[in-house]
Amino acid sequence: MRRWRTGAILIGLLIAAQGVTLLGGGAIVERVITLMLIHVVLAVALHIFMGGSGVVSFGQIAFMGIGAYASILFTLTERGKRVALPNLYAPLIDLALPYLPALIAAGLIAALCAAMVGLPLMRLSGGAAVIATFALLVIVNVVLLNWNQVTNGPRTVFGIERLTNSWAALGWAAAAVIAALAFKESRWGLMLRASREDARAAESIGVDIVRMRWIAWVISAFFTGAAGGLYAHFIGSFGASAFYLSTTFLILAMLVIGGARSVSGAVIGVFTITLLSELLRAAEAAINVGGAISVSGATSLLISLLMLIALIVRPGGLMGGREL
Amino acid sequence: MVDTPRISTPPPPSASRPTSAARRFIRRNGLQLGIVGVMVLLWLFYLSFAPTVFASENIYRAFMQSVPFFGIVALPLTMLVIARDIDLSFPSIMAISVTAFVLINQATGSIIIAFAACLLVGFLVGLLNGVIVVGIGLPALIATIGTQFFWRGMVQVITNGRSFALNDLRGDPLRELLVGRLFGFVPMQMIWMIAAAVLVWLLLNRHRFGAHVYLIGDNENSARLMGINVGRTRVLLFGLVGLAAGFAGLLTALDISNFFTNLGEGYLLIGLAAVFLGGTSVFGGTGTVFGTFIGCFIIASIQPAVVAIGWSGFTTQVIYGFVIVLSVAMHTFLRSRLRLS
Amino acid sequence: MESYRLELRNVSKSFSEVQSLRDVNFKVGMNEVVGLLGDNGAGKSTLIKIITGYHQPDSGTILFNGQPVDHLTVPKARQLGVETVYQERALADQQNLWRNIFMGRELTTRLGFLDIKKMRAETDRLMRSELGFTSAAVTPDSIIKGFSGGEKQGVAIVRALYFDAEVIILDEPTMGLALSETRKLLHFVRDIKRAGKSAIFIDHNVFHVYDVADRIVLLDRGTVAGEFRKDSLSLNELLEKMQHVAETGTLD
Repeated sequence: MRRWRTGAILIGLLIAAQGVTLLGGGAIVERVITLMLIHVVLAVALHIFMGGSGVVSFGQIAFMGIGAYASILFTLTERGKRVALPNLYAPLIDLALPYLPALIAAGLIAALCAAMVGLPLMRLSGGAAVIATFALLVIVNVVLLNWNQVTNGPRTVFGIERLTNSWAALGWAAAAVIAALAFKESRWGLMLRASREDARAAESIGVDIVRMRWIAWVISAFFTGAAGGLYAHFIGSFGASAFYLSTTFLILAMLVIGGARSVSGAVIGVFTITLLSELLRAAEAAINVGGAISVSGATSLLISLLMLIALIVRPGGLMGGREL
Repeated sequence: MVDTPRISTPPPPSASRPTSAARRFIRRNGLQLGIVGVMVLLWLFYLSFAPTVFASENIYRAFMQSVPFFGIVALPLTMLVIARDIDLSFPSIMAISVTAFVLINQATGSIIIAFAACLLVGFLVGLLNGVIVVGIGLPALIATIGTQFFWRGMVQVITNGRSFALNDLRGDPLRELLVGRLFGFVPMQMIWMIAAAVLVWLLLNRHRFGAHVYLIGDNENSARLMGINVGRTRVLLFGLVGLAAGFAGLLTALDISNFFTNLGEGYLLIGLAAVFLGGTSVFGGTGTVFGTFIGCFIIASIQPAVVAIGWSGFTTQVIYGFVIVLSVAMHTFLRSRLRLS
Repeated sequence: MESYRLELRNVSKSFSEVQSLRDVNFKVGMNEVVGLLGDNGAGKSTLIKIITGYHQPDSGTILFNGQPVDHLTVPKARQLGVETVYQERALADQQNLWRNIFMGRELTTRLGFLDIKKMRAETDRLMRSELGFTSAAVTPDSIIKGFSGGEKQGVAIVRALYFDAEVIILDEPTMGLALSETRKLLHFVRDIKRAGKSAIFIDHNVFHVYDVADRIVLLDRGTVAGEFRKDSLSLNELLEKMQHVAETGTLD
């Protein structure tokens, strides 16, 4: 029953955030909230893998990129494809799905990729796993940057209809939260967490750690891929560099600050960082109109500092592994 | 946990270990011989598929010019990885150190003072990584990805994203010493990389410090029980990586006579790939300077080779990635094998 | 006043909530082998780690040769002649023999550079004279990963011996050893005595302890439950007392 309460509280929080957009503030506030909700999907998805297995992944954002490119293959019109993806393979030109099925398909494609690369990757743990997931991020990024026929190479893809509004993002964020909570308390989730606490003991009672990790990895990739689709239809135009180290770091920092071991931690981390970066932006706008300070530099300074402080002061993050 | 008592007497050590001097040499230096073999094979492959490029001296001059920019960091990074730590922040340390160089040079007009400041900042930022990882006990991977973004952000805030031309340093004796041409041909940075390799090799293989590095990476608990100052050694290792990053960053900026705020960003992957390709295990305890040195050149040869052979350029990065995955997988495999035996 | 090689007075130590040692008095005489007995969790390991400087006691004093020592650290304990053969042996598996023998105490020339030649030669000598490795296959450069449990134990013991210890602590040294290797080990403990040194011998096996110890200390739940000279007590009496302690927590 606790699970339902946590779910209700978290979804209540998400709805409250959505409520802010109704109060006014117009398009800018809605964009901030939408992006935040997309980040919730990403952070919760990362939690599904990291929180359960205790293995840090630098590779998840690769699936966001895969999902983003996959989703627009379904939603771009034929004319749109000829402009945005001029070298596209002919059979893909006629591909078309409505928005929601396109996002689900994007998630499934990402999950399929994860299922394949996960077979060798999930055998690794500790430092080796992190390095290998990092290599995965790099490999996928390079493929996205250079697969002319599908991604139009390093050029920006544009002309994507902005179908993602805060309601769509809210729906996916809520779905991710429910899935994460359900997974956490499921048989698989419990076994995975047991393996995190004591791998040897879990193995000795017959938990197949590699398989449990793999399941969490694939579920995580599904939501990450869908979030990629959400993001693509939110931002309208993007390039492969959007799915690289800085996004990886941002999501990782959000999760670490909130607390990687609980779903609530993921949500709270995203809320906290979003709030603080918006405050920083507002402060900067107030202090220097001339733009004497690099905004992106200051934001990355702030986030990394917060992450380090969180790690030092509260290694379990703000939530310390607890659920709301 | 209690060990099961052994019933049978283990055979005396002499029983199953036939050997000769040659076999012992091969066993002891297997990894290093392996990597030399890989290099020779690759080179022959390049020569036969892209003879025009690889038979000319230009390509080797280009290697000597550009490899040291990450190679000089990869060398002490090898020691750090042997001690079972890692530093993902070295590209940012390169940038923040050069930022210090540029600012101090502007303020004092002295390239010598600026040079000292650059090295000092690199060393201190590295030490800070060490204090965060060792003193506070954060996992090195998470902590240094954090400091990586912290210092990159700092560089952007300090410089406000501007780049700095360093043209007026051309002709300065220090610049000539660092990135000039020896006999009009050999880039000085290559000499510095060789010097760094010799220094790191001495430190790792012929000095007490290096002995402790191996022991810490192999079994930290044993090292501590035997009175090795584990914390100090690890912190110092981070400092050395920082120092090397500061130095290498300056070489990079001086060589192109320009300082961009994203200096070093491309070196994270190839630096790590060189270390792992060189036979250093992610699990610590093993690894050689020689392997990393050769690894740097193998890694650097991939891109021009790929281009010369006529594959599309992006294959390069994919190969870097696979190099890391393969060497990590190989060590995992070797370890599980060894544990069973 | 009688002088002891090593003495702990009213030493207490707790880890967060758990009190591991309570007001423990413990001494080791000159050229005396003290056997330390107690169940798991009785505080044996904590006691050892305090003597070796790995842990610092919360209260109480530590004296070496009658002199109190403040803030005992691992290097300081070493300097005072405490050598330990740990249960986990404190070896580095992927390193070679000489690096293990000289772990943390590498012989150096100037500026901390290793005197590898000398360390190899010394290791070679120890291997042949003490460890009984005579095969040409094992050299000072052999990686110790392939050694048997007994061989590794031998390396750890020879290491302690080499560094001219005054008090040698053997923490469950017979664990995982074959019978013949155990016999060799007990022989070595008697050698310590013969060489005029002191030792603390910790083992689960009361027979081994009774065999080599001059005096036996019983630890129970963090306190000293009893102390006997071997010559004043038969093996059967000792077993009875231990049973009594285990049941009641006190000697009487």
